[in-house]
Amino acid sequence: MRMNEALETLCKLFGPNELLVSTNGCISRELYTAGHSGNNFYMLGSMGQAASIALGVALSRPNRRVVALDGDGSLLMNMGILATVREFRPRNFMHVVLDNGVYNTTGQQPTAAAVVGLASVAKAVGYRNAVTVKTATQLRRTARRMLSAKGPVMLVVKVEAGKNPDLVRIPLTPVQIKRRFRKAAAANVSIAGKDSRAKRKRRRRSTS
Amino acid sequence: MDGTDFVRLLTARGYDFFTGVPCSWFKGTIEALRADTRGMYAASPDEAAAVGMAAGASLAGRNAAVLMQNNGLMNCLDVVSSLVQFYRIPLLMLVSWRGYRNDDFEEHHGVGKATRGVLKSFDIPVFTPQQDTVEQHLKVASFTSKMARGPAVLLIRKGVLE
Repeated sequence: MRMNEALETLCKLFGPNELLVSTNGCISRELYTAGHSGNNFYMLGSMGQAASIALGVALSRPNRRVVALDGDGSLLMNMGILATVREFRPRNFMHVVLDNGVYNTTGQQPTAAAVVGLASVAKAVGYRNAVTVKTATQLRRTARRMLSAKGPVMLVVKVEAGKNPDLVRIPLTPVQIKRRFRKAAAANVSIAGKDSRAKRKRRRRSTS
Repeated sequence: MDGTDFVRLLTARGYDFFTGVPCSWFKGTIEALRADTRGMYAASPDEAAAVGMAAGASLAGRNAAVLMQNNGLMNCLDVVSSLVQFYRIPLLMLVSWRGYRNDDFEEHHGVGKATRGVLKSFDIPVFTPQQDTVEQHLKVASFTSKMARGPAVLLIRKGVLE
C-alpha cells in the first residue's frame, strides 16, 4: 500500500469530529494532498512531537476525537510519550503510525521499525488496542472500528517507502494553519454527534 | 514565595493547563498543582514533549504553561523554535536557573552560564524576578507571551520559590 492510498482511505472515514495532528515531512504533505481540512494541524518542524501535540489537544477537548498521524521515525524519537498516553488514557485519542521503515523525506534511511513491532510496544504499554494493518481493506475495517471505540488506540499502517513525485509543499503559512486549526478545535462538534453517526450508517449501507 | 501562592497567581492570570518535568525548586508549586481539584497538571516524559503538549493545549483553547530546569530548556529548544515561535503560539515557560554563578552542583554550571545567551540568541523574552517581584514579573511575562504570541520565560533563581 502506498502512503497516499492509505491516507485517502483514512480521510474518507474522518468527519468534522476528528482533529488531526500530522507529523512533519512527507506525511503532512501527503495528508494535505489526500484530504486537506481545517481540522488538520500540519507540523512543519518539531519532529517527534505529533503525539505530544495531539495529546495536549485530546486532554483539552475530551468531546472530540483527536488523531495523531505519526511516522515510524518520528515516533521512535519520542517513545516516552507512549507511557504518557497510557498514564492519562484519553478515550478520544487515536495514534496512527504510517510505518514505511525509513526516514522517507531525507533519503529513505532505515529506522528501527524494520525490526521493532510498534503496535506490540503500544499494547505492552497499555493502549486499549493496537493493531498493524497491511492492506487497504484491513485499514478501512480496522480504522472504522477504532473511530467508534474507546481509546487510546494505535493503528500501525505498513506503507511503501519512496517519495510521491506529485507532492507539493503546503501552501499555507504556519499562522494560517494555526488559525484554522484553532477555529476547528473550538467548534461545537461532539464525538457522538448526529453528523458522524449518520455518516457512518450511510457508509456501512453502501459498502459491498 | 511558596508554591501554593505561586499557583494562585498563575490561575488568577488564567493559566489552566500545566505540564513539564520537575526541578526540586518547583516541588511546592507542583505539589499545589497536583492537589488542585481542577486537574490542571499533566506531567510529560521530557521537556520537548512538555512543550508539544502545552502547544496542543493552547491550540485547543487552553492557557498553557510549562515547568522545567534550564537543563531541560536546552532539551526542548527545537520545539520552542519550530513549533511555538514558528506558529506563534503563546506559551509561558517557568524555568529554574540552575548553575547560576556556579552556585550549584557542577553538572549545572555549563547550562547555568549559557542560559541567558541561548535565550537571547533565540529571541525568547526573559523575565527574572526577585523574591518580592514575582507577581509583577509574572504579569509582564504573561502579557508579553500573549501579545507577541510566542514563548516568554520566567527565569527562577535559587530561593525565589519554595
